[in-house]
Amino acid sequence: MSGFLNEDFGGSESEDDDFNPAPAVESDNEDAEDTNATQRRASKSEEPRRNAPENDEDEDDAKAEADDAPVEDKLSRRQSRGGDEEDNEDEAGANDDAGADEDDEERDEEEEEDDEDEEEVTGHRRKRHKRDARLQFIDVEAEVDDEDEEDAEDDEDVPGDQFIADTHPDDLLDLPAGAEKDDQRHRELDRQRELLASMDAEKQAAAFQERYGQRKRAAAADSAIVPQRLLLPSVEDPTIWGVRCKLGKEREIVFAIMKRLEDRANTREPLAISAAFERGGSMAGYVYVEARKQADVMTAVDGLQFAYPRTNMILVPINEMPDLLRTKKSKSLEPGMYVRIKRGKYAGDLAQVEEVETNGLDITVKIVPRLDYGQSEDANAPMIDNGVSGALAKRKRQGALGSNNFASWPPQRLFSEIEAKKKHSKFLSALSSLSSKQWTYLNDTYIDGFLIKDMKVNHLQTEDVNPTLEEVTKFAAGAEDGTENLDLTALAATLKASTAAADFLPGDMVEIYDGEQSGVFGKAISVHSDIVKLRVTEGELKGQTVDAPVKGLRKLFKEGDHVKIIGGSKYFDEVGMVVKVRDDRVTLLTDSNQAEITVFSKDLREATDSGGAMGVSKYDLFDLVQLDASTVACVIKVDRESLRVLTQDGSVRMLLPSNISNKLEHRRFAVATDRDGSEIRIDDTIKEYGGEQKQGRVLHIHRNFLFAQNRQQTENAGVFVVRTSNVTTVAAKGGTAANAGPDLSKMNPALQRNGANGTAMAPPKSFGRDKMIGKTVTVKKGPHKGLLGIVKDTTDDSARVELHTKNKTITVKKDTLAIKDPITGAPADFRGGMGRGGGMPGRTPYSGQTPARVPGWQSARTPNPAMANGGRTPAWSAAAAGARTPAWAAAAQGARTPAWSRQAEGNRTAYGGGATSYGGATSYGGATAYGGGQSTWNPNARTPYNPAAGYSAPTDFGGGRTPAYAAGNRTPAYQGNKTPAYSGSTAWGGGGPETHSGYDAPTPGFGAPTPGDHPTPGVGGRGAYGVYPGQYQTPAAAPTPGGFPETPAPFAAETPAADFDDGPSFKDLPAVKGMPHGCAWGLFDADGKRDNLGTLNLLTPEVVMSARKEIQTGESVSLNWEITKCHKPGFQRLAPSHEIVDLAHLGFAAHDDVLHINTQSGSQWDGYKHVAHQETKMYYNGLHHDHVKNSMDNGIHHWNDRGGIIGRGVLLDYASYAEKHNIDYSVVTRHEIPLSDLKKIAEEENITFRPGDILLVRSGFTKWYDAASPEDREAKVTNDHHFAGVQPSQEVVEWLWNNHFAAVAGDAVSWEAWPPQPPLLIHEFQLAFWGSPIGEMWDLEKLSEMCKEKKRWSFFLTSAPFNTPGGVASLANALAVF
Amino acid sequence: MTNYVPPSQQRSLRACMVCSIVQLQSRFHSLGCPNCEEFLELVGSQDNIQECTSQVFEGLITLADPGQSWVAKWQRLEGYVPGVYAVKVVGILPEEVINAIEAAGVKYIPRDGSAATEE
Repeated sequence: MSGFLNEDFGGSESEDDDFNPAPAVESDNEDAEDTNATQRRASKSEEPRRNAPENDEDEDDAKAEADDAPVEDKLSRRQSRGGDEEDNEDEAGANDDAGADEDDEERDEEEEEDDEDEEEVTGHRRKRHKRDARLQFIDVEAEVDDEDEEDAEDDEDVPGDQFIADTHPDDLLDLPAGAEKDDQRHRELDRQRELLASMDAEKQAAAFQERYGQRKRAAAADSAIVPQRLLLPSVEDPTIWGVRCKLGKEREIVFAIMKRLEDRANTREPLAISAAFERGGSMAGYVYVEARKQADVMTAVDGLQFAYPRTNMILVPINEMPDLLRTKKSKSLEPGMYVRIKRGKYAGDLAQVEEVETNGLDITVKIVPRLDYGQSEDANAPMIDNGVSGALAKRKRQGALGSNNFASWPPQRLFSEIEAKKKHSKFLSALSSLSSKQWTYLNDTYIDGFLIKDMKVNHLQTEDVNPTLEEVTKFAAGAEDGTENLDLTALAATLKASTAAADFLPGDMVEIYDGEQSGVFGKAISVHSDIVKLRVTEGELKGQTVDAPVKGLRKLFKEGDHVKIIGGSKYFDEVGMVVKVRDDRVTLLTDSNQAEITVFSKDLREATDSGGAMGVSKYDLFDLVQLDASTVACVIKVDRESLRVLTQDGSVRMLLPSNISNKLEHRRFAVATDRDGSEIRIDDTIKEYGGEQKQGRVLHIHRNFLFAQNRQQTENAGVFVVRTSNVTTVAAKGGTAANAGPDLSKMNPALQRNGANGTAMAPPKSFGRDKMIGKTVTVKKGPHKGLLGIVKDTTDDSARVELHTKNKTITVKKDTLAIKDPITGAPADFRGGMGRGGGMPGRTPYSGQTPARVPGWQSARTPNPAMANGGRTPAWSAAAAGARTPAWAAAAQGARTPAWSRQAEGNRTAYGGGATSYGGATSYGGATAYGGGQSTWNPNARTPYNPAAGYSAPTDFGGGRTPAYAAGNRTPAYQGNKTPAYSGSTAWGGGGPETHSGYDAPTPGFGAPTPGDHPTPGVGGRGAYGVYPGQYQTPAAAPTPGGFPETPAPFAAETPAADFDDGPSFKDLPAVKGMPHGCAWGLFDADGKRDNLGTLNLLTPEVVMSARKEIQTGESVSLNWEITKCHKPGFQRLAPSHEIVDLAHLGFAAHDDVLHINTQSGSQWDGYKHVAHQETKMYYNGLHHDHVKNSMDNGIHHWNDRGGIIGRGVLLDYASYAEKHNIDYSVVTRHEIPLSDLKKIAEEENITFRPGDILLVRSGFTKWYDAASPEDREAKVTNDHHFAGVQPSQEVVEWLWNNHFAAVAGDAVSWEAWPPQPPLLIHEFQLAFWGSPIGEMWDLEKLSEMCKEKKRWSFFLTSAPFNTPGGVASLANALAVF
Repeated sequence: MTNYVPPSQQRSLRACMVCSIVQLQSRFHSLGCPNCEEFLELVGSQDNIQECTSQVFEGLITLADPGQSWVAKWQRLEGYVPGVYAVKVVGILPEEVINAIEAAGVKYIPRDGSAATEE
């Protein structure tokens, strides 16, 4: 809740943020917004009434409040009210206290009285009369009404002629053109009038109501008449959030919400949502909840089964809200049209509509049946008798096969009573009919061979049916005499609407033939839904991009184009040349047989391939191919573009090569067993047992299916499919195993399945690439023993090893290999992995230690691991010392880093030379010496980011000689400065008195920091060297060595920091392009790396070491408020929740607890992703708002990674100060804590700030909150957002910067006084410009006590922010140690 | 009396074609439509229920506060009782029922998506 609130800035939680006025949606009318507003007001004023339809008193009161609603709204509402109150007997009595604003209606009343009887008759008439009545009183309004109602009626498709006829001719004149505008003015006028007239309107209304109370309830009343576009959502409407849920459970959740609503309805905490809905279909997986506050959504949905409100609740933008509720009329069905069945046995099958019930819901359809006539009931029954016709027999066989294959249904065939009689005669009965054959079989009706079935419309797919010609002909051929009765008109009706956008592809040449832009043509660029975007290629609009709906488009072809037929025609896949184009019909000459055919242009595409020579298909005749995971098929015909295949269930399919997932290799040694248990191998001759007793040569064995070929047959190229258990081997290849008897070892189907070669279980596969590949190994055994090589390839148990020595590759068992380190040759621990090579695929132990590292460790070539070696690699030794910046670590810890060793010996060298330059460079003079090269002093040379020489300088010196510095030294300027101040000072303790050269000796930084040396007193010595690049170059201006001796003194004093400081002062901050002054971006960047820490860089090891001195008694105080304290946070933030979970269900006596918090709802830090500079939407160091969500930059984890926040905390106890000085204020008002007071407090507390201090300011907020009543808390914190805080002013900002605080925090909700009064916002400066953490709602009460007790207001402070990668903020987890 | 319907019974839900409220068929039968009973007269009449309510509907709305809700406003549900409504109800009302509705002073809005004004 503290911190920044989205309310006033761009965030995502609050509805205000997304303010998006309705007119944005409505483009045609500039006054739309006003109209909307009126509308809104009108409907708003109704709310109270609607809420309490049964309570007249309330209702009337509410009415009285609704004094600005336009009269006509009231009137129309009146209608509905009449209805509402019908059931209400005592209504009349309640009317007495009816209020004032409805006397227009009273006036109407008398006129209406006369009409009353008639009004009961029809709605239309009643309305008319009503309006007439009003006309007499308010002429202007009548016009408004006409307009209004007509609008509504147009939208509602209700004939409006009547009304127009009734309208006064004058009114008609007023109507056209600017009608909407007029309407708006009229409404304004109405409102004014109404105000005047509102005195006793209510009373009149009551009488009116009494009179018309009898009227029937008007259901949707006025809102029904208002065109829907006027109902577009506005910012005043509740917001809609999308909550993730389990797919398919949307309805359940909606009902569950209903239940929860009802359960809580009369409790103290009713759900505050106004609605919840789901849309299934394309919006499946979400439930949408409408509420004012996100927290309400959470309460409504949280804990419901299948709903996941804790993951990414989506705020629906206001302009997308109508889309959520968009409905599209389902196509109305008519007899003859084609549909597809959605589920069941016939799922996906085409059906023809026979009859539609008047309610449009029950449809009788005609389906080609899929029957197996009882075959599936007993799969082991003899398959077939020989007597049946060939076709029938085949189908029977397929049926049997199909039934064994659970995935497939019997093929489509017309009903055959002969078949049915065979096994199922008891289920079959004939219905007498004069014209056709009707049968009832298994409770279904079959007419003319078709299944006639009643279905619900929701079980039918009516859109995008796209029947193929093949399917349609099945219905066409239905007539007994064989004549085709294909209903072309019905087919057309089905096809017409199916001009799917998919017909158009980017790159197509298209022409607009319908609408204003007809005649325009161009190339389609993109196709989205049914809109095609095209770039016009000719004519006036050339080069422009135009959007056009698909229905007005056709493809454009020119004579001579080479095209291919892509669908919807029996010429599918033909390729040819266009010879004639007429409208959308294209005649082409096919390449294959030079025939002229005419097709629709929509079915054509420009051919990319030449149609001449037949492309070589990937698949050959009789290949076995995999269609999907469970289906294989044998290719029985190869066409130019398509394949015909026979699947394992016996059906024949036409496929594009692209439909085939892959070709199955011919497995020469596959073996199966036949019915008798004999082996079947490829090329054996088998004979079907039973059935047709087909005989053939085995082509493929796949599981228990055989694809065999009989050359005598023409059907399917002689290929047929049988089950292995249904054949006998006639002749084995080579005449061998003819009657060898069953091979028992082959009979176990489990064995069969595992590989055709009959081996037992294949060893389990290990997944992925064998880790061994590429490893250097030695051979441990055999003729190649001792030789070194690299593994090139492996199998389960052997490896191919390329030998280093012999230049040859050998195959050896894996377990004879030992993996070696490629460089040292030392054995590497890959044993575990090796051992597992064959056996256990799971985890490979050596994945942890990739060989890449191994050399690193030993060779110590890379500086990083050198940690182990100590002082060799500077960067790491620094790290070892616990510091990040070697220079300072060095300073603190002595001679571990090379810097130091060098210094130790190097006073002479580096510093010797540096003496002069020292002065010149100030602190960096040291650096110069360091680097040893004057060239480093070219201030701006190497650091791209920093214009300020002060900053760049350190980088330079780092880069100069010792790479370690470059690596380690992140915060150049500040560190440079600090050293002297703190660790410097300690070092000085010993070294100070020494001679000049002695000074030089410590760290170069040492020299640097001494402010006293600075020749530019004007700047107060502060930041002088850092800021003015010029100084670097002009040693003369810089302090002379002589200045040095002075330095130690202030150091010794221990409070030198206050006087000097390292970074640039506020006014000297370098300009950042595109940003206002005061922006510190780039200042902390080092080594060309983008900084993510901002002023936390000031917390150098020296600063921390110095802060350590604050620990004197070892007492510590927590600065954290109770995590769930703020149980109703402001700014619509989620309330923290805490739940304890009993683990009993796991069989443990144990508990977990689950916390759910918004990081802003308690003692917390604002991170650098929290608030942007509002104007530019930029966050710290150039991160744009749009990238915040997905970027790791500025993430809170960087704070964690740097080792948290540790340093000296100083408390400015304003609350106590105010008490003492009788400053009266409330923390829940916008009380500003001025800078002058802050300074005075510091004085009273005897605090001298040092760079890197963590400033705490106590306003007394948590004290107030702890003491406040729940009501006050809610009123002031949850709802009203006024809080005391530091004054947002320029002087405060400059003071904050110039004191170089590493971070600031307070107990206030938003640190600075809230709400903000633009233009100045401290959050912007601290978070966005400087990268300086702001802590809020810290509990400083105990700290305040402790400080008073100890009489000191500085302490050691630690904070461990969350390690949330990319996080925005974190709980503070702060402690103060005394 | 609750508007909650457990998942097991959700198959026998029907939606009123006039106001789009979604209830169990049995509830329509015993209590009628809470918004439209005056003119639909569903109580006890299986025929009327068949004619005026539909099993085919899409999108469920739990309406808690018809006065406050924009969803209610948009769906023209203002003034109706809180409960569960459908976004779209497929089905065609018989002509005479539509007449009866109009006669009752109610503006009939088709709920099957055909009234959509924006296209």
